[in-house]
Amino acid sequence: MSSERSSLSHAGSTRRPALAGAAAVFGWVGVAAGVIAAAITLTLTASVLLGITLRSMSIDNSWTYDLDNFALIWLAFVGAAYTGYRGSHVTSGISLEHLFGRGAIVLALLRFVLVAGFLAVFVYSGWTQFHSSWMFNEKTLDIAQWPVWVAKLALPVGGAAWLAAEIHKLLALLAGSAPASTEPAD
Amino acid sequence: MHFILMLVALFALLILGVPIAIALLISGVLGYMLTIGIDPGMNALAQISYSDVNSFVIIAIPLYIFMGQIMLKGEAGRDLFDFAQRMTRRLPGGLVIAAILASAIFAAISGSSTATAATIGSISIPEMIKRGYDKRMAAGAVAVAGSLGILIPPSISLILYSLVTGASVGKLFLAGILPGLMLALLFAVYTVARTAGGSFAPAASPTAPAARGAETGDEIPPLTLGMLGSLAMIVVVLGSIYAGLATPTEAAAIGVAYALVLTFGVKRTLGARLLGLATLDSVKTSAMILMLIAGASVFGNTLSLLRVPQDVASWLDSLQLAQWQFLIAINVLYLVLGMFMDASAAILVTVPILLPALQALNIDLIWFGVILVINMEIGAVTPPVGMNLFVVQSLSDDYTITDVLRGSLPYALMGLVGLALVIIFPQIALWLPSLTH
Amino acid sequence: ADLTVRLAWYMPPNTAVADQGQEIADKIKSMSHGSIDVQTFPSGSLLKESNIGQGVANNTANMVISGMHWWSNQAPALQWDTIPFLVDDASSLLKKLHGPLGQDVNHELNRFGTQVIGWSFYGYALSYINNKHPVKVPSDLKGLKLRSEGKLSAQFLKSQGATPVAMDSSEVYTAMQRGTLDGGVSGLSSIVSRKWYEVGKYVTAIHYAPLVYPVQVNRQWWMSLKPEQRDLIKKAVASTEGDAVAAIEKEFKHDIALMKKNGNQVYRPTNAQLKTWQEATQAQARKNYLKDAGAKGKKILHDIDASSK
Ligand code: NA
Ligand code: NA
Repeated sequence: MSSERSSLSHAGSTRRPALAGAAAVFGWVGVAAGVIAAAITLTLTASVLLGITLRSMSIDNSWTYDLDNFALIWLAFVGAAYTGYRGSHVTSGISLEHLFGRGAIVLALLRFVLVAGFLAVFVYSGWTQFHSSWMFNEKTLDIAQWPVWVAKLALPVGGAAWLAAEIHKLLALLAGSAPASTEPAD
Repeated sequence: MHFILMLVALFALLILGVPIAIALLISGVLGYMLTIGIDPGMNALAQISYSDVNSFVIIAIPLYIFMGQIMLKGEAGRDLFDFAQRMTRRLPGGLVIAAILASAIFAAISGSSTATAATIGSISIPEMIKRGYDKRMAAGAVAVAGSLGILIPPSISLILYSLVTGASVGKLFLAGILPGLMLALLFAVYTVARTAGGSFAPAASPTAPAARGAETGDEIPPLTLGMLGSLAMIVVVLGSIYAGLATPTEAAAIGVAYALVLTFGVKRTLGARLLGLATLDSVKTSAMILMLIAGASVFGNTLSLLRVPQDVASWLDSLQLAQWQFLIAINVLYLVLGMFMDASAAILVTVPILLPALQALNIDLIWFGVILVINMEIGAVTPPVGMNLFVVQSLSDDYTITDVLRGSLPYALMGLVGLALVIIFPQIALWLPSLTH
Repeated sequence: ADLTVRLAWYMPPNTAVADQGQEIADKIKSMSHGSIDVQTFPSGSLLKESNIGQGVANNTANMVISGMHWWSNQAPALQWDTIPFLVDDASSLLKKLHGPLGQDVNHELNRFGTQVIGWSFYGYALSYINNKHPVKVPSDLKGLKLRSEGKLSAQFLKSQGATPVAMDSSEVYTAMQRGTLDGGVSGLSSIVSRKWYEVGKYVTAIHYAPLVYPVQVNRQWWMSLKPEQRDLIKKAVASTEGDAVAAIEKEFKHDIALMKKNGNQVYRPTNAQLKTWQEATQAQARKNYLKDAGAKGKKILHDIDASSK
């Protein structure tokens, strides 16, 4: 088992510039997701530290507690798009590519259809969660009374960004340019 | 029937190379839709993913991963392991033992296995590989020793167990200490045995000159301020909990702050560029684990909807076994469940059903809690759902899951030995709590 | 069986809700002579406290027993049972729930696709535990850092000069042990089941209004049943309500005895002191409640007050 780095792409030569251009555009979404999630990681750290400080000064810290949880949700679902862009979601690592040989592109397409199809469903599902939270004016239960749709919006947004990252990887593969996932990760 | 379809879908997706989180989500929601309907399934997919990730204690996972990345990019990990090398230089396999020791110490800070494995792993594995240790052994030791996070208190799993059984959290925490230390010792003993007998297991011994050097006495790093600063991390994080400044989850943020001060401010080994990289890499690992939590919860939720664990547990209950037979059967059950389920899910689903049988057979609930958690520790390194395998694998591009799995196997077997010892000698778990009365 | 019902709750074993859940399942099975089967999902094994409302709304479980205040993040009028001293005891509340009050609650829940078919109770809400000093009257709360439960309790703590703290329930034990917190606010039932009494010394046990846990069903599923099935299930649930009232009274006494035996200093305010609690809490809680709940809240309070006089 390993992470989902593709062995199909051939770095360097870009055979189809139009596709490569489109791939780059979708790739920006993946990068943006990473930058947002990184900012959220810093926010999360600061918010938890602030919560500790407020409590030790005997000041109500319920708003930082809500912020912590909201940041976690955004980190999870938007971060997942960046992880997808980097090709770092773990897979079983069974390499059927070797069996398929030159037909491996079919396997990559099938995998794309499954993953992208699922992500589309997830975006819809997340959207309904967000929407009903918005309609019912759902709030957190403590004094802070934050609107919960702010957190639930991360579901469709993260799912859509992840979908964009998957499209980026497929286009890059078809274009013959290296997808981001084959770049050294660490 | 739906259960079989779910399993078929899961394995087909895994073989195709679909990310495990997505494979779990798809097969989980498929079973759900077959049982209840498509529309409720559409609703439940995002809803369960959201509500299971939306838990404050999970915040410790990204924060400890972030802390580990800062320590790693700021080269504080090297300090820690230089020091560990000094400490364990007379022992064969010293750094592996140091990683095990560090996991046991870190387990006293963290309540989760994945956070422990991610933190110690991101610091220790690159160091061990750099020093020529066998990469599988390095990964395996960290994956298995990381699971001490839920046995040595504080422990999320023991808190959940207490909630379901009514057993005292304080006593459960006390009961976890000695078995946790004993397991760490067993892992260390195994490491010494493998690495000392070079002829017995050449692949497992350190081969590079640097690693050998530690044993022959040359190249011993001098004691530096950086080392002490890195070591003090443990004191700072633990201290913040024991002094009542922070909860076990919040202490992770204190760890991040301290790591930043140490590497960015004092040692000046971490610049803005490296900090950016550390943050992005911690996003990558954190989100991977958080999506696995979402996937495991949707999958586990459908399993309980289909009453799979319940049926198995009540079938066991119906066999009317003697205490020792029951315990063996239970351990087999949990080892199998541990392959597929996250520890929290397994506890919440099965323990309430087993509780009457436990009480009827006069099985001590504190003791059983410890037995259960050791099973869950082993479950964290068994495929296909083995959180610690995933975590350690994600720490280095060189690793395949098979590498981590093969490295973990001997340590997991030592875990089984520890499990057997706790079953045969309940005092290992029950002695400390007995002192409180 | 002609019909299989999925019944879920999140309360742990040996609580009034869990016992009643099991009793409901047994009664339905026996009264229907096995033609209706009930699968129980206890202790959050199918739906947890965080998602049980959505779980019954989307029919993951056909029937659930969960806190009415769960819905108050979307329907603020449903947090009325967290207002202290609204009624004298559970049995008088149960009578009101079988009148206009219950209809109002049901009406609110219908908006979310669920329906009330009977009543359960968590137990008596909002007792106090801390490590600093005995809390006999509200002014004793001054200066304490207490983990709060819900908006109304946090507002009350603030008004008495205490600091409400938001914290995950699983961290409260360690936090009380290490002094991160002075204590917490919760029902005795949870103070005992979460073992906070092991790490907290002073307990103030107050016989407030009980928290209401309606037995709720998915409305669409419920309408799809045959009328005689609906009748039977309703009767079975109703037959357990009396036991539930008795169970929470018994649990309240049992919890106090258990904590005393453990060495906790359990304080029960005298009648005169209860007056000061009532004066400090009730008017303020009503005002804060009505601010969020508007006309619906006014109607609910009217139902409660009217039938009690
Ligand atoms: Na721990
Ligand atoms: Na496993």
